[in-house]
Amino acid sequence: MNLDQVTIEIRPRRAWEAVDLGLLMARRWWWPMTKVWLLLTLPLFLLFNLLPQDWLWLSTVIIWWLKPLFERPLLHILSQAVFGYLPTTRETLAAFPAQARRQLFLSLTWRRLSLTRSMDLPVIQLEGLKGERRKQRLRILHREDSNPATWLTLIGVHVESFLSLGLLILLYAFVPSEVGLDWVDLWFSEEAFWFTYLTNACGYFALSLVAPFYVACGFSLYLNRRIKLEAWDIDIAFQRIVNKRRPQPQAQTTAALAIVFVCFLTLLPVHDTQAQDSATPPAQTLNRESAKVAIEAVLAGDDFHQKDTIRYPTLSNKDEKERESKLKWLRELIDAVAAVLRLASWLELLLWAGVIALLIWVAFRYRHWLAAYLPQRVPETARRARPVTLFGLDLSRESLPDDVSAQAVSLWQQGEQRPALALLYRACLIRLLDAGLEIEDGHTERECLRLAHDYTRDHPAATEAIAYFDELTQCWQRLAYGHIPVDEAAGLTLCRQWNSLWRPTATAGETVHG
Amino acid sequence: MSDDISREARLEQASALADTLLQEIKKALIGQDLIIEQVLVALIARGHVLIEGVPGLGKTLLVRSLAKCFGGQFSRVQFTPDLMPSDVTGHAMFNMAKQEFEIRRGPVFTHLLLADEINRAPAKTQAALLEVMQEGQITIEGESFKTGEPFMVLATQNPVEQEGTYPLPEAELDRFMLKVMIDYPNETDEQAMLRQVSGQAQGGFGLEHIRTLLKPSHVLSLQKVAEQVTVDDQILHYVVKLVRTTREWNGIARGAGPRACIALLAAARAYALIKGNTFVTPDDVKTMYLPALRHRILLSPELAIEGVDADRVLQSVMQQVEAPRH
Repeated sequence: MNLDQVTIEIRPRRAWEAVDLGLLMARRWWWPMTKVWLLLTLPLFLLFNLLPQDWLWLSTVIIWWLKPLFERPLLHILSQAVFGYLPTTRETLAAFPAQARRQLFLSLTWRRLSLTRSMDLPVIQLEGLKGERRKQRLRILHREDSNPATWLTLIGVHVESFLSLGLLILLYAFVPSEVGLDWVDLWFSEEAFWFTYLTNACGYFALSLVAPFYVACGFSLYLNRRIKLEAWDIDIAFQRIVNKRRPQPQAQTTAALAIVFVCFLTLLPVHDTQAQDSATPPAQTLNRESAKVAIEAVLAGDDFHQKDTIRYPTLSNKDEKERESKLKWLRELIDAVAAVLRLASWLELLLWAGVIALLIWVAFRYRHWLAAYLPQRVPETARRARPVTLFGLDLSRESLPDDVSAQAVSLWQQGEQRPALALLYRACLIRLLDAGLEIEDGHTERECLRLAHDYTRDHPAATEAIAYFDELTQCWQRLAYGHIPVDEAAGLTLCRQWNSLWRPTATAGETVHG
Repeated sequence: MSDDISREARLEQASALADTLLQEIKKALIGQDLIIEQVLVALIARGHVLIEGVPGLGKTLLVRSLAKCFGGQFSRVQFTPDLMPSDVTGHAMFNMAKQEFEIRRGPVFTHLLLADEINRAPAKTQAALLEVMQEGQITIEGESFKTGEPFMVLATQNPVEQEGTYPLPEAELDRFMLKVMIDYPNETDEQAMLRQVSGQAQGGFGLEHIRTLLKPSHVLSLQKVAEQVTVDDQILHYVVKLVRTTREWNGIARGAGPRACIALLAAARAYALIKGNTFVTPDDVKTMYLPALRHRILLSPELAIEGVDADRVLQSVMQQVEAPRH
């Protein structure tokens, strides 16, 4: 690793800034990375598409599962490109088998779903650590700035999904409406295997697009963490100072000395080095002893003897009673909270009761509106009970006189035509209701008559009675609405005929009676 | 008694006349009997009709046949977005020769006015019809002019193309006595219509075969006779109850106003006359209830979103309101 040849600006960054840098890196070396990715994955993807139709969906899934493997050459390219050397595709591919073997099984099994995969990969591949040392290293790396690595994975998964789905929708948008493609059917139809190819292709495209960015961002996070941990920026600053002060001809001979100097001075805090920048003696006058003295002086200084007092609450081992008395308020608080919770559960119960009551009220209040949605079912499920009053008339059997005809004739002869016909009409309605006709409040005389005629279709014996009802209705309407008096003889006939046609004991009346 | 007899005779005569008119128009417009009946109802009841239906169902033919039947004048105005109120009503124009303003009367000065696709014109042009529909007169430059008598507006609107249309304001809708929904004729009627049209020499619609049965003044007499059709108090109560129920009905955001009562009763009277009755029955009221009220109610948003139409709601109102019996 040669820090003076690094192609990115080395400085400590905030975590998301590092991710940003990763995106820049991915853009800069996108094609070399994508080229290697395609060379490795595309043949495999095409091969998997030869699977039987039922297993076609596996091709994208397998490529997705093997991603940690195919990300290694991308990291290889990045790790070298960052330090000034962009490996050729051939070199990268040549290095791939060795890289692929490294901790392959673990990477593809239980580490496969690790959310910080992008940041952890360099530890395996570049540092070559494994086992306990890897764990320790990761612990140190993850101490800060590892959250974005997790988010990176989550965002990556979403971007992949959206991209593949978006592509499908884009293609669908280009299908003319005349084709009549059923979008839902495509997903579930077994015959539309070409659609599986299409989804696979879109999925693969999305994976290929996201992979370089994912690896680069993870690597950038890793680099940033190392820059912070190992103060690469200070290292580079010192190297530059050394290079500036070093006489050019002696560059070769003093190189080793400069490195030693840098190694020692990396331990110094930044501001000290800057403060001493002008006072630092030339590199040639330093020797081990003087450096040691200088280091010891710094170590003995205030910077290394600052004391910070940090207080943590700990449970002391004092007397039990004392502790209890101290914790009494806590108990009381817990009891109060419990009481509130009990009250809350009662409140919840009350609220639910309120909601149920409200629902019942709404259902009752809007019953007509709800009934409008069930126009057919209500009459089918339950036969309507025989109404006692309709149109404001008392239609109970008890309300009729024993001898309707006699009563009607008597009324007629007294000149009470309207009450006489009203009685006959009401009596007919009562018999029709008894026969099971479903007469409603809103039915007019004509509608009642229509129902009665419908009734005769199934009960031909009632034809004569219904013909009587027809005549009665006409007379009644002329009298009631047209104020046209009914002919005396016709009226009396109607009054007298009722008993013979409609009385339950009479033959025809029995038929109407049901 | 003799008054009653003469009234009955007049009513019978009028109803026979109305029936003849109906049969005559049926000759030209085949398969739309119900529509013809309702348009005649509106004519006899001094009302105006809003006809809703897709193009090509014979709306213009209906109006022309009707106009020819009673020898009345007929105007047709195609409502377009750039139509101005003065294009409908008329305007004052300065005559250079005479050096004075003279009134140019618009197409509204007629007996039958067909306002084709009325909802394509903006609200101000639609509103130009408000006065003439209610008062039967036009005010131009502060001076009022009477239209022809009888006067009826038949407006059409297309339910399919809603882009670039201006829905009629409530005040305008309320002035239409009936809203008639015109639909495709059935197969037999369509065949008969095609046979008749293809049999015509110039491919016309047989308007020339329609006889002029009466004069505009006879129509006015018909209108007067219709007002003599007996209406019992129970029928009045029933009409009011039917209209008032729409104001309290769940699912109707805004019910019909008092003008609906007047329109419904007048329409029921005219319908009774056409049917040969000398009195109005609850059945007549029920028959005219849907065309007279469907454009006067505003459904609540829930029902409108569910796609429930006004007819369905009004049907349930009719089912629930008690019909008169005594």
